[in-house]
Amino acid sequence: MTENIKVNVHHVTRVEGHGNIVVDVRNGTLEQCELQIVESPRFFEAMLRGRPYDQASHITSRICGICAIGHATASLRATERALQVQLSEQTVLLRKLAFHGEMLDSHVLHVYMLVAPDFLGVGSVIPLAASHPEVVKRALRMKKFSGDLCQALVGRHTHPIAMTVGGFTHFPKVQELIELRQRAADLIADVDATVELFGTLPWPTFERETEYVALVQPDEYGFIDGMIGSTDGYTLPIAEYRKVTNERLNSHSTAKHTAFNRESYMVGSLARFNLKHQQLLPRAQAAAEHLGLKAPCYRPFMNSAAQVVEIVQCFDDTIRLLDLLIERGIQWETPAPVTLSPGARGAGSCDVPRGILFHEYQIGETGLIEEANCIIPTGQNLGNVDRDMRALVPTLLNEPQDQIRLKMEMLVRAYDPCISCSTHFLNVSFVGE
Amino acid sequence: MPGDAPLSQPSTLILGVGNPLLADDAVGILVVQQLLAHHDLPSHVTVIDGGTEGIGLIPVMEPYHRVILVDAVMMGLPAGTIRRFTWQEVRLTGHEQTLSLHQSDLTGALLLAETLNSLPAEVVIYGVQPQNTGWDQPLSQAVERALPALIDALLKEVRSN
Repeated sequence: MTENIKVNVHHVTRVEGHGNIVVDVRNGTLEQCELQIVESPRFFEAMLRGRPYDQASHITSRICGICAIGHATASLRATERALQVQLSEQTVLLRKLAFHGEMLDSHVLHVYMLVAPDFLGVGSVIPLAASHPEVVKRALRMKKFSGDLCQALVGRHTHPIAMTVGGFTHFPKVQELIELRQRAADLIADVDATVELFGTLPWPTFERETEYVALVQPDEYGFIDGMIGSTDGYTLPIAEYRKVTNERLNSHSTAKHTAFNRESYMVGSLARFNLKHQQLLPRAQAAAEHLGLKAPCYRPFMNSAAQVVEIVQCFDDTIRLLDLLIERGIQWETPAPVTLSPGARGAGSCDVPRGILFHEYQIGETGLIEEANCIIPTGQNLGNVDRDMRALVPTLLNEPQDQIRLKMEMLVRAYDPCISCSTHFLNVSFVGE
Repeated sequence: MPGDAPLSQPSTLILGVGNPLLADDAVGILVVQQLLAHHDLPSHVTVIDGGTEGIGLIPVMEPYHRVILVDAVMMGLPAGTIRRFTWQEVRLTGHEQTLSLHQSDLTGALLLAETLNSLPAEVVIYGVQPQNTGWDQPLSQAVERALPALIDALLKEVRSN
């Protein structure tokens, strides 16, 4: 057995943003094991306070390049609850469809570009593209479809501009939806090949029982609105989200940790699967079976497998929604009206690719935001990642240090953390200088 | 659309990227907004706000013969300095093992596109050295002063061929 182990991974690669993993084993005893978050807090409230309510979704959609529609949707739902806005059926359908576009985009990126290289023994997606170009090109075909779906619905590939309080400012033409429906039919083989590929991967068997939290709906495997559900048997309205999140500061992280019925809980695809697997569409259920995913599943590495299941789910539901909208036709609607009143409060939630997301605003009678709160999925997962790492390390002590390091990185990546995905400027040096 | 361009003029995409919540990282987005609002562009030129997309930009860029990226670039030069360079003229800082391939990593996206032979024939980058990229900070005066010259340079570039 290895007596002393020191793993210090600075800025874990292939996660969204920057986090450090620290593991310290001395004389066979685990002294320290944690995911340190070094990113600065986001000053979310300061960004929004004093701004008109109709700017909030546009500002918050820029927080993240991946969950732009997710942040915009949670923001809009918070505002709409505060201002007593009733949405039309068409608005609800269009938002669901745009949300599927983002879910597909994010999951395809994560499983193909970030998870697959670990399992296939290559350092990153670049050597994967050299050795298996058809695999990476398949992922890009699916990303192109989801990006074009978002473009048609919200006016841009990312950072939606057409979604607004009460509805939309731009509508897709039925002909665009018909073309997207045809392209979706052409992509079924790519979705099937995705399930096949990930069905061949040796998913680590490590498991640790924990609490799983996700939005639940009575009639569908949905991602927007509903109630907050827990595998420990509790269901709460979104307005009471603080009873679930119970945020607290933590010494090794600038992000707050959360806890509901236990010391920590997990959000994301595996949480949704554990809570709502019976509502999956038939092909998604078959994909879960093929991937060896069975509820309740306590294996955190299987979060990525649950993402593959959700690729099938969102893809098939996209086809269903496209058919429905083509049949209904698209009506040009003005956004539903708002009712301003002093100190109006509202909380909005949606289950974005990485898990349940909350926005809450207080809006004054002149329409300016007075208070804002945002709790992101990765923040909710941090405490659970720490506890998983502490349980995993003792099972790895006989392995070489580089294997321990790899497994720890894979565990963190399985949570698909988005610690800060918005800094992106290029760093270059010039050849010959 | 790229297919509509006359044969003599290569289809060109001006792709501004960045995050308007991060002070000078807004420069690519501001350029897109100003070009769309105030300038008549030749028919072979398309302008797109790429936000903080990374790998997702590969299929966006692929149909074009030429892509002109506009972004804040850490070059170790005085704030507001504009530098034009091609993809071939730069190399990545750091090595592959530390290359974070998160969505917003544009360098990784360009490298991946190159590996897949999906990179447009010409990739030109207009980089502006940022001064400040903190959350919810205003644009620095140095970068604000650089904007008119940057727009002029881009217009000259796309109108010359």
